[in-house]
Amino acid sequence: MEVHTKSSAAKEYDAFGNLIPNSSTGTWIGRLTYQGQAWMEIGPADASKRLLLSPTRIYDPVTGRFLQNEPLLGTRPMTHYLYSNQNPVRFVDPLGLTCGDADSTAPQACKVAPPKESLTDPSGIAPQQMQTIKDWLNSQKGQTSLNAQDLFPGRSTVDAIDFVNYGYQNPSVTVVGDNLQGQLVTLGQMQSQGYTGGPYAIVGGPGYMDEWGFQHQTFCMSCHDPINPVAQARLGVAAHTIEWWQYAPQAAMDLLSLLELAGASQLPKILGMIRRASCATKPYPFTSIRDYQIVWGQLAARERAAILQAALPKRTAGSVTMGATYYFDAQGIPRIGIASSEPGKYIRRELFPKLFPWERVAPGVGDAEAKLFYEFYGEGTAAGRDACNPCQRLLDNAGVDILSGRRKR
Amino acid sequence: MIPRLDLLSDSSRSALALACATKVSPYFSKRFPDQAETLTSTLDECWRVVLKGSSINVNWDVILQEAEEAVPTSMDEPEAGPAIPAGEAALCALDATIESTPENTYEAISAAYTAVEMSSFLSMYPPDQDHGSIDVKELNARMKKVCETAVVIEFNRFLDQLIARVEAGAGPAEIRGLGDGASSSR
Repeated sequence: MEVHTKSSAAKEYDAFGNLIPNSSTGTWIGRLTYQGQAWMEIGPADASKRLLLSPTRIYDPVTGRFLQNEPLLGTRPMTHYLYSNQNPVRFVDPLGLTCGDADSTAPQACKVAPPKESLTDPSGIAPQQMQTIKDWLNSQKGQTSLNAQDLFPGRSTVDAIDFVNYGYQNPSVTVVGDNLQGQLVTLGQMQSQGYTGGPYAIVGGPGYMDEWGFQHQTFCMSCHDPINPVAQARLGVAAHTIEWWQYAPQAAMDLLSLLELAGASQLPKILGMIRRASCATKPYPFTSIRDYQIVWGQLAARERAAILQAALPKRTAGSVTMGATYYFDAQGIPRIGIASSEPGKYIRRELFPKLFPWERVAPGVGDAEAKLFYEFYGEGTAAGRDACNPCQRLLDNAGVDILSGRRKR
Repeated sequence: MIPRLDLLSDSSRSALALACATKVSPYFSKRFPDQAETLTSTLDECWRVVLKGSSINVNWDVILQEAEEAVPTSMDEPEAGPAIPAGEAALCALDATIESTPENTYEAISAAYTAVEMSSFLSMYPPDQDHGSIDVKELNARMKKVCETAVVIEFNRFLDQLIARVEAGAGPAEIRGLGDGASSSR
């Protein structure tokens, strides 16, 4: 990447700093550059990418985010990668430090949220939603058994996948999650929208920040999987959970304080672990949301195939293969597709209680796994039993491997 | 269904399973004529045992092995369609004769119903003309329509009549007569 300055006197920008092509008037006309700031434009020689260089960080107007994290990270945990509190119409951040800190030349200085005085009132951002959450938590008390030992008998630790599968197998369980659009939704609503979990929205109360700087104004235990919050709090000592919380300790503190109000157990211990984890830095195991979704989706596909196969009648299980695949639809929404090796899209009656309305059924006709792959181009396809010979041939021809085993020839 | 079956005698349960399997056996013999004879003789042997009330001198292991070999254990032949559940119904009926449990009987009834339902489903939605995928809601709607077809209604009526007769105390011979008389010609 080479750095070069450009004359900017006549340039016009949208609110986030994208150039408005071929326009004669615009929001920032006559300013030095975007928002009147003395930022340099940088990018490759072929102009395929355009970035703005602030005194401290590089800003990408396409995403509206800095490429580097907040230099004052820790003092203002809600800003991270965001530019101007994600509201550049009102605020500016000429130094790339944190909006409102520096002397601003903007029409209106950016305001920084005051430090939290009480963890039991995490944000004040969404009081109405907060009340909803409190009401919900209170409604759970004494009504539902949420003890880990009840949910997962005999297990000492559980992880996100366990919860996701638990939710799948128990649709009646009320869980609360975040649809990544700042809306509080139940697991059923999320899944009916094809949403199967977003990894980076870490645990938080109303108003928290995910790892990518996206702000969420909702409540979520750990948004990569929709989880019953009280249950999770009790399971909070599980290593997995603590590991995730390391990425958003402040949000975790907020949440746990919220749960404290609801009387969740083990909170002192969990809070202590979170505090110790708050300074930890750990490389994130996935490079994108999609990566995470694929890993999760492959496990989900395997699980779905196994569940459906197990639901077949005894004599049928030896002749019918149930397959499941994890795929992204045309809108990029992750989904589960299923198929039976029986003709057409016929699915045995016994399986209907196990099907979910958000799943799609593909014709399997003899080789459910292979047909699923060809129908959906799934990221991970699994069968309830070892692949049959025709499947193997089709899969080999397509250069695809499946998650389940292969039948001995 | 299983609690109702639990109230029946062993021979009634076996007869019920055999009647259902016999009813749908034409689906199997039409698709697999070479193996049909094995399956028919298996069902006949089962009927003999149930009617006689004794399985002395019957080598179940051999019968079971031959029957299992006759029914394809894989969908390697996709066009087999309802023949597979029809074959399964016979195997389940054999299971129900060897061990007359409500579960085995229910499985035989269920497999027989599946053969009829699948046949109707494939008639309405032929795989070669029904491309792409559907969501589960659409699948439910289809199954509802399938339930309203004459073939499925007729089978359900047969089943209701069969169970009513068994519960009224009809013996295996009468049950066999009902099944034979109504045997599907498809």
